[in-house]
Amino acid sequence: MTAPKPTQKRKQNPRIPEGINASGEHPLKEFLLLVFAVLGALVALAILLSVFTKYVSPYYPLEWEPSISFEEEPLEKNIIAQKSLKDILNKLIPNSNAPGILYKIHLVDSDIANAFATLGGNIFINSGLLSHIESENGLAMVIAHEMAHVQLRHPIQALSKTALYQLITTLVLGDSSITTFAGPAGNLTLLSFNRDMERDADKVAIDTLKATYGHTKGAAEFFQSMSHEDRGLEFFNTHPDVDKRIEFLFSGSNKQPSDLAQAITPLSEALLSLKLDKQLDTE
Amino acid sequence: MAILIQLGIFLCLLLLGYVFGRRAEKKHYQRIFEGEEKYRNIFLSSERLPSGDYVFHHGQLVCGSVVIAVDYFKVIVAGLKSIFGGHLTTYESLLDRARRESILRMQEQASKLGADAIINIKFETSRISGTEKKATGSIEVLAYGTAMMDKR
Repeated sequence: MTAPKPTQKRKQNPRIPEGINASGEHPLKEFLLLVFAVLGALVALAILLSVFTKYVSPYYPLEWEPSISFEEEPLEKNIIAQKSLKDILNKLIPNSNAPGILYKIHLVDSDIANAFATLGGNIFINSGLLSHIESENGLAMVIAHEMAHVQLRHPIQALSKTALYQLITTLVLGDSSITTFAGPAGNLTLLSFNRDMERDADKVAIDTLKATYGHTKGAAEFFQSMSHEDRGLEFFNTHPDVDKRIEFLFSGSNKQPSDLAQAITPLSEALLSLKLDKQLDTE
Repeated sequence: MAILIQLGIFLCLLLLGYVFGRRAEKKHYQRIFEGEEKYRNIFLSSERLPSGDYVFHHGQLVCGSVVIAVDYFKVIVAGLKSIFGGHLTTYESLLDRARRESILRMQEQASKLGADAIINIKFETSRISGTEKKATGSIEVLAYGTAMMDKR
């Protein structure tokens, strides 16, 4: 047996082709693909759940909705004005679709012309709204509109949606500070309703108004007055398409009666004096 | 606002991880290719016993060790990927580099000893940090074998 000579050609390592153990694919390509997949899944989940909340949250009993502390909202001191507001509400309730609901109405001392409905059947009317109203009918329309929000369970739907988005953001960002449920009343009154909700509430409200007063005269007072105002107002952020809503109020069977015999009901004395106070304040 | 700051920090880290990680990877592969060409004559084998070619050789332990850290970009991509499953390609290239680098270091040692082959090559991989949550992991890859030197 002969030993291999040192001069013999030494063994060499083979050149193994690249891209077997590590693919040469650009990492950004994979990253973007993954990001789109995750975002797509999240958006799909959000849409699915928001549709789900829309149909399921109305089954949550109204009585179970949290009661709200009113410390955040400075209530109007004028008790007689509060009382006349309640009188209008009580006039409307038997003519509404759901007379069994326990509404709570509050006159808030605020110059901002706005009204809102929130959880637990609470309706807030800002006293600043009065300066945009000419008659009881106009005010009744606003109240009926907020009543409709409560009837149609819009506050709980909006809350569910807010909670849902918060949940999804928490899932994505890993931030565990959920404030929706613990939030003060200030948060709950900021629940925003979408255009569909506003339109539906208008539809219900106009029926209630018709059933109560026999006509719809004065219904558009508030919107008409507001549409002359500066568009930068907060009101337009939460109540879009004022012009369209006025148009709707006057359309079809809801035409303003030209018959002057169907007189509008004037505002009660207390509300009228409050309205004048507000107008003096702003001038 | 806090969310925006968090998001900003996240995107910064992601960008830094991507830019520097990508640059380091390219440069490293360049060095690996050069090294593999340089030590092509130090034959590598996983054979446990020397073959007939090495009857006049004697053996000595050689080893090469590499510690690598993963960059933020790779962590995020791997994290996203783990939702869907599949190859963690960003980690694959990292480990591929580590294994090849450890072999090169072993070959460098063997070449200093005047060896013409390394047999009985084995790998060891161990995680050396990043056991706690959210920490960036780093691992050691150790390659060792028997360098064959001609006695004549």
